Amino acid sequence: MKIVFTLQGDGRDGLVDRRFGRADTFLIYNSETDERQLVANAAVDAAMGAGLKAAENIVALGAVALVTGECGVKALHALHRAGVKVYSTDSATFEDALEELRQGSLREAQPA
Amino acid sequence: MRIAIASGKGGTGKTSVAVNLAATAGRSVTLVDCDVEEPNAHIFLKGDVVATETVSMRVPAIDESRCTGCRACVEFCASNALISFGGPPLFFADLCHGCGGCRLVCRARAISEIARPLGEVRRIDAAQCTLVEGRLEVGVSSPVPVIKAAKAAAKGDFVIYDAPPGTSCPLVATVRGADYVLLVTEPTPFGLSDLRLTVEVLRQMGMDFGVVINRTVRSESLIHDYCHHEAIDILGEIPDDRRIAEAYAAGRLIVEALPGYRPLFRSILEACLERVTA
Repeated sequence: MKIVFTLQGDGRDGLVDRRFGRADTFLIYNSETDERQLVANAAVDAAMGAGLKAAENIVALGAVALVTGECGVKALHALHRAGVKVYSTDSATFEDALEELRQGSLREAQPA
Repeated sequence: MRIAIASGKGGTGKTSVAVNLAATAGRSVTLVDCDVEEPNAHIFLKGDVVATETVSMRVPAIDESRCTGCRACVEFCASNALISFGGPPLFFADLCHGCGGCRLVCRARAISEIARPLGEVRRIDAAQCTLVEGRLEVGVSSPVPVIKAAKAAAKGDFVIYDAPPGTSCPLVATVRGADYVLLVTEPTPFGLSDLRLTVEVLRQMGMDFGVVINRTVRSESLIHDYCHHEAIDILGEIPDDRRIAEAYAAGRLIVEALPGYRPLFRSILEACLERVTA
């Protein structure tokens, strides 16, 4: 299962980017193999609709879940339609957010 | 002649200046309230609504049974209003600018266009002048189409545009085409900061403009120093007078509640006219 986390900068510091559409980097975590892959967010400079473009991109990458700070309403709606679960985290690091996800303590965001 | 009243910062007195200048100019003027997210000139220029027109935008309607999922529309849309997870695209009306390109690039002819209501334009026959007011529908994010429609609805040779606050698209849409822009500011660091931003925008647009300082005090130097340094004309100064605030709070025009201020608004109006005809 591929789970996308949003990270700051090039992602090597493992710091969570609280934004989704304008996050710098996506970390694609494979829950079966524990593999981690960093991918630059191609939508980061979109004039508008960055969240929707990012949603389209992570679905194309095979994501089944997203862990981020806050996901905007349009992206949340789109990801819901694509069957991707969206989790909000307050953790500062990827490792902490992953631990929260494993323990099932993350809140799943639902479109209004 | 078209004069736009703008500021950058909210709450500096754009509407106060606009309605009082309109009342000073008299029956031949049309005031257009371009602050379509929160039009309030009607509070001061009272009258009956004599005409209402709906403003809408053509947006795509997708026939999913015809869509082949080719993504041509998705790739075309610069606004990212269309996205696809493989099947028929999802459409997000809020991002759409109504260009119609998606329909043109759809080979399967799965896209038609429907009208999306964005707001309305009202013509109000006020005692002092004609007021045209744009009103944005709740939930619509871009006020620009309603601003354009309100401006287009203004008839006559003498029009005053009351701009919304801010320095982005709504301001640009309001002042574009005006002969002169009057920037209303207040003698505070916030007023100055947003005045600077607005001046930058207007200079890029190649507009003529001048400044009115509202709620000014005797020791005022912040705005004067800036305008002097930038060679910007100050067309008038409205004092920080509690009676003006009281008239405003009661929904009254300054020039009617406090006739002593009539010469001040007359001189601001004339200073604008001189610069337009010069």
